Amino acid sequence: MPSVTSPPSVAGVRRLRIIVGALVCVVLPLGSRVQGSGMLAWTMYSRIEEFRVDLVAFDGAGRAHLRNPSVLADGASADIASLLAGSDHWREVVSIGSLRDHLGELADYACRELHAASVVVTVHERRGGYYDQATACERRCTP
Amino acid sequence: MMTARIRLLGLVRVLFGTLVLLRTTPVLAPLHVTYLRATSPLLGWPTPMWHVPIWGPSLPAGLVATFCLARTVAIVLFTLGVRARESGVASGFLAWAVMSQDAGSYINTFHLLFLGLIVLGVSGAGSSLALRPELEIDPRSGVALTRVFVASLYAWSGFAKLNSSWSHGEVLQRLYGDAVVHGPIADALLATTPGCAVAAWSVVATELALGPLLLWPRTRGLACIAALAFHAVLELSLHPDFFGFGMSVLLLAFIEIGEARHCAVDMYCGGAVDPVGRQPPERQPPEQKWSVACQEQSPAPH
Repeated sequence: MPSVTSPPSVAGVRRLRIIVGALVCVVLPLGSRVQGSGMLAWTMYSRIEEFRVDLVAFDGAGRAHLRNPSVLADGASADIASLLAGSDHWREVVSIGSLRDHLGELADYACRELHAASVVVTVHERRGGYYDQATACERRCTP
Repeated sequence: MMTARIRLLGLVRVLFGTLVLLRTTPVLAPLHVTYLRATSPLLGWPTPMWHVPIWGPSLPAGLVATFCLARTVAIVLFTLGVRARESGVASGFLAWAVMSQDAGSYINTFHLLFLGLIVLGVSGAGSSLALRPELEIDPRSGVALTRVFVASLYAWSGFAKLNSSWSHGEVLQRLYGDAVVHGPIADALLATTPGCAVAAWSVVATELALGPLLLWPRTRGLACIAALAFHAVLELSLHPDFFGFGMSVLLLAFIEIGEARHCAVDMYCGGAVDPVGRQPPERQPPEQKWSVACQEQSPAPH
């Protein structure tokens, strides 16, 4: 006898749709806003942020060398490269959250690219023309 | 029983799936559109260049490539209507998993396209215009899910613009100054500071109003036209990737035709499965009443 699967119940399907609706229409956008990035909250050009990246590499003797972060664009994926290119000056961007949230990884990457003993990467941000915040990450590079 | 509403949702599935395929595969590469450059061999294909995931650890390149292939197969199945529920949900999750591998690649267009696959899959859009139609279960809640999803997008977008930078017109002024927003409409509206402020408030008012107006049956038709016009203006002035196309396709779910028009204000929508076994009320043919009225007014023969 071939097995016959019973169709899902109306109540079950309706419950599933309510859960999916609550997730995509409320939980994801609201959670994203509460978390701070607003990435999943359909912000759509609602504000413009400006950012600048300072990149300082230290050699083995402890001397500091100010480097242009654009040099990191060469080995980065197209989307990250477009963020880093020209970021030694103030640049406008819809959201800088993706770079700020991964500053540690950027510092690790800078270590490899610059062959430095240690690096300090700082992202400066301003909104509406006013200086807002700076986030820094220091990494001691492993040889 | 096939309803007009679910047929429309089937059409939305076919068009939306086609859009996602066009955006995630190199089909349109010969057009040399800037934002379609990264679709070869497939969108999100692993690269040796440095990148960071949005969440969690980086996945192995082989796994990401497998996800890219599986996503494409799932979108094709979804578009054709083969196990549309499963393939829609799977393709949405796979697409998000691939996108999450490069934090810089996130754009709202992808979020819309990938969430849209999941929403349409769960909505029962595979019940019609499908190679293997799935069982139609409670079409009313399926259509409602798609509609609420679209309405919520406008609401969140309008809500996000309730900030001083936007409301004073500064954001639009900068976007216009940087030629991100351009074209004859932008020239007419955004050339002056007051113009930018008026345009900014107009956008907020439009986005906040569209959701409720689309959900209210009496204003739905007009709101649909307004929303399509809104996306046309954005498309001409901003070229927001595939976002406008995706939203325009999803707006088809608001169209009321035939039986669906009757259902717009009727609690017995769909007619396929009613949770408590109620039957739709019988409708009297209007022609009969009309013909009686005509007979009464017709002049007597001489």
